[in-house]
Formats: sequence, structure tokens, C-alpha cells
Amino acid sequence: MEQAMKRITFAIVLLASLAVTTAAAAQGTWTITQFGGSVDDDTVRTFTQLLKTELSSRTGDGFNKVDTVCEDVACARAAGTKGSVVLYGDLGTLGSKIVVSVTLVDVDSGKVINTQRMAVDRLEDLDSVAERMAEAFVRGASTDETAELGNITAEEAKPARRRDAEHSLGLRLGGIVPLGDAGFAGQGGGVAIDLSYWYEASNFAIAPRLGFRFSADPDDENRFFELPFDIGAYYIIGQADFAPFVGGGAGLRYMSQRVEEGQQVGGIIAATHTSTVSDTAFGFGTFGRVGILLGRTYTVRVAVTADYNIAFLELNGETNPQSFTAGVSVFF
Amino acid sequence: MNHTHIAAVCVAIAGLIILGCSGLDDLADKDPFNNGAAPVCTEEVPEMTGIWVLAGSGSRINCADKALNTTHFDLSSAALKLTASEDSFGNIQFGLAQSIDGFVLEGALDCDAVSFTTTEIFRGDTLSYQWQGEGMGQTLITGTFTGTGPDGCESEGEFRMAKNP
Repeated sequence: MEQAMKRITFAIVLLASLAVTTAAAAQGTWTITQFGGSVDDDTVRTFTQLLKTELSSRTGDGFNKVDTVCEDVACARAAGTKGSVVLYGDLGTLGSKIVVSVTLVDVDSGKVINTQRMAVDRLEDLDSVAERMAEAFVRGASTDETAELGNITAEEAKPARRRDAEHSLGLRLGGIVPLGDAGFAGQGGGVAIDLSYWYEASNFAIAPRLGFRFSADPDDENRFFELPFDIGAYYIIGQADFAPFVGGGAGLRYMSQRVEEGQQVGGIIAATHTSTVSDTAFGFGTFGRVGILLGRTYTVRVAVTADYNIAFLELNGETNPQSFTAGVSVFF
Repeated sequence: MNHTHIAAVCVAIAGLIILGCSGLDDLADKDPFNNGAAPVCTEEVPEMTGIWVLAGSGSRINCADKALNTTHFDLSSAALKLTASEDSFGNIQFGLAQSIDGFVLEGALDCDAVSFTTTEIFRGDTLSYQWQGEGMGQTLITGTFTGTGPDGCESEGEFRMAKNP
């Protein structure tokens, strides 16, 4: 009985040690090389320790530290041990920035498992870099995906830079010629004035616009008024002082017209008179434009433009008035 | 023959005379050509048979189509060939000598007082006018008119109707 108990106890101890050994064998091993770069050694050491701590807390793996400074995969493989992974990296300065680059390599295959880079503008943010990189390496993600409240660096908190463009007010003076019979009181032409905000980049421009078109003779019994409010977008060809452009836009239209018409009531006994018929309408409108931008390299520019316009509305029973406008614009 | 006989004959003759005069008065009222109708017109009566042309001006209100409302319109007509007839009582009616599609004219004369109505179908609407005028001789009538249509319109004005020679 006593002998049996001894054998059972030995078996239990043997099985337990095997479990511990197995568990120990299941843990990974990381090798961290000596990070290089132009940042001072103390900072490098501190960052390396932070990175090791963050990785260790997440994985429970073992870590080996080697003094070899590696700049490539081959060096890193040579510094690592079989069946493990190796980290090599660099902390360099770029002006006022510190650029941290770290690469994780599988020693056996030589495959780069993950590589990350982050830039900070102050040393105090290196602990956030260590935390984000450790999380990225463990999850197989990027440091962008490991951003959380509390580990955002000051550099990331800055608003992104955007390219600026030239913007100016525009004033266009010109004329309007109705196309067809609809909407312009039978008039042959009128005056066109536009106010716009011209936003110009290298190859395109955007311009919201408010326009006024009206009869040339205000005393004429037949008269019209059109007010377009829309946004145009244009493609500018060329960067020189003579630059053609083409584009178009869409928006709202308000139109009114006043027309004198002859009226007849009756045929055998006819009563005739002249009446004034007025109508107003709101609708959607579009336009297409071609033009030439002059003096592009100057802050004050001139443009010569021609438009085709159409308004989708009805005035006095006539639909979709169309017109041609042309004019000269000044941007200042 | 004594005095009594002479007196009786005088009374009889007087009675006959008195009775005869009252009968003449009746005869005078009963013109064999009037047959008890309206008195004979002393004014010159327009000769309605012939070709007449209307002209005038007016105003129109309350039209459903606002463009037809106006303070002034001019009136004109095509040449209207009319024919007149007299009934047994001497009353004169007149109308179109030839029918016109979509147009009706009917009227009557009372000495120099002329009244007639016109009705026309114009673009699916009915135009009606009532004309009241006075003859200025045989070939001219002047007066006023009122009218309705199209579509709620009410009109009024003055007219002049002249006969083509």
C-alpha cells in the first residue's frame, strides 16, 4: 500500500513537471537588438526598455537583449535565436522631430513580420510610441490602428496641413442673348452682371456665383429679370498667364417677365385690347462655360468667358428658357 | 206738315248727326292699315334690311382670365347682312339674312328704338351681347350694350351701327 502511494505521488510530480516544462516551452522568445540612430544613448535605452516592458506585459514571452546594432534583416536574423523573433530599430532626429522605426523579423524564415514608424516632436511622447508599437506588433496591426485616448502623441494632435489656393472676389460684366422665345419677354438681349467668389488652385477653380440679368431698356413695356445663384467648377489648362478653362455649374434660378400681348374676344363681333401679362418662377438651372484666364501669375486676373444657360421652369406657359451670356471678369 | 212734325224731324236729324260724328271718331282711330296695333311712328325708322357694320368700345371685368379684364377695348364686326319682317301687328323683327355658323342675331324695332341680341360661340365659350339703340335716320343706330362671356367676363359699352350703302 505504501509502495503504491509512493508510485502515485511520483507520477503526479512527474506529470506536473512535464506540464510546467511544456508551458515554458510554449512561451515565445524575443530578441531585441541595440537600436541605433542619432538620438542620445540614454533615450535609446529608455525607449528600448519601454518597448520591452510593453511587449512583455502583452505576451508574457521571454526577452533577450543583444548589443548588436542592426540596420537590416540579415543582421537581425543573425542576432536572433532559432525559433524566436527579433526586433531591430532606429531612433533618428529630423530637425525637431524624432523618428522611431522598428522592425519585427522571424529568425527562422527571415520574413519581416511587421514594421512600424512613428514621428514625435518631443521625447515625452516616446512612451506612447512604445505602447502603440508594442500593441501593433502583438496584434499584427499598424500604429494607426492602435491609437486610443491617452496614447495620442502631440505630433498627431496637430491639424493636418493642407495646400492653400488663391481665392478672390470676381466681378463680371457682359450681355445676355436669349435663345428661343421662352422667358425673356421677346427681348433681343440684355445686361448680365455676376458676383462670384473665385477659389483657384493649380488646375481647377470653384466659384459660387450670384448673377443679375435684365432688359437693356428699363422703359420698355416688355422686360425680363433673371437671378441665377449657383456654383461652378472649372478645369484650368496651363499655368501660364494665358490659360484656357472649361467647366460648368448648377443651382437655383429666379426669373420674371412682363409682356404686352394683344387680346381678342369674339370673331364675328371682335373686341380687341392690349394686356400686360406678368409671371415669375423659381427653378433649377445649369450652365456650361468656356473662358480664358489672363494674368494667372498675378494676384489680379482677368477672364473672358462665354456661357450657355438653361433654366428648368415655366413662364407664361413657355418652358425652359435658354440664353447665351458673355462677359469680362476681374478677380481681385 | 205742322210744327210738331218739323220739330220731330229736326230732333231726328240732330240725333243722326250726333251719332254719326261719334262713329267718325272711331273710324279715325281704327286705321284700316294698323288693325289696332302700335301707333304709327312719327320718327324716321331705320331700314334694317341690308348690310350693317358694328363699331364701338367698352370695358370688361370679372374675367377668369385676368388678361381679358380691361378698362377699354375696341369693338368691330364683320359686315352683317340683315333682313327685316313685319308681323300682322306691324311690329318689325330683324335677323341674319344668311345663317353664320356659331353666331345668332335677333332683334326688334319699336319705331326708332332698336334692340337686339347677339350670341357667338368663340373658342368654346359663349359670348352674349344685349344691344339697345336709337335710330338716327334709316342707316345709323347708336346706343349702348352689355355683355357676358367668356368665362365670367362682364362687359359694357357704347356702339354705333351703320348701314353700308
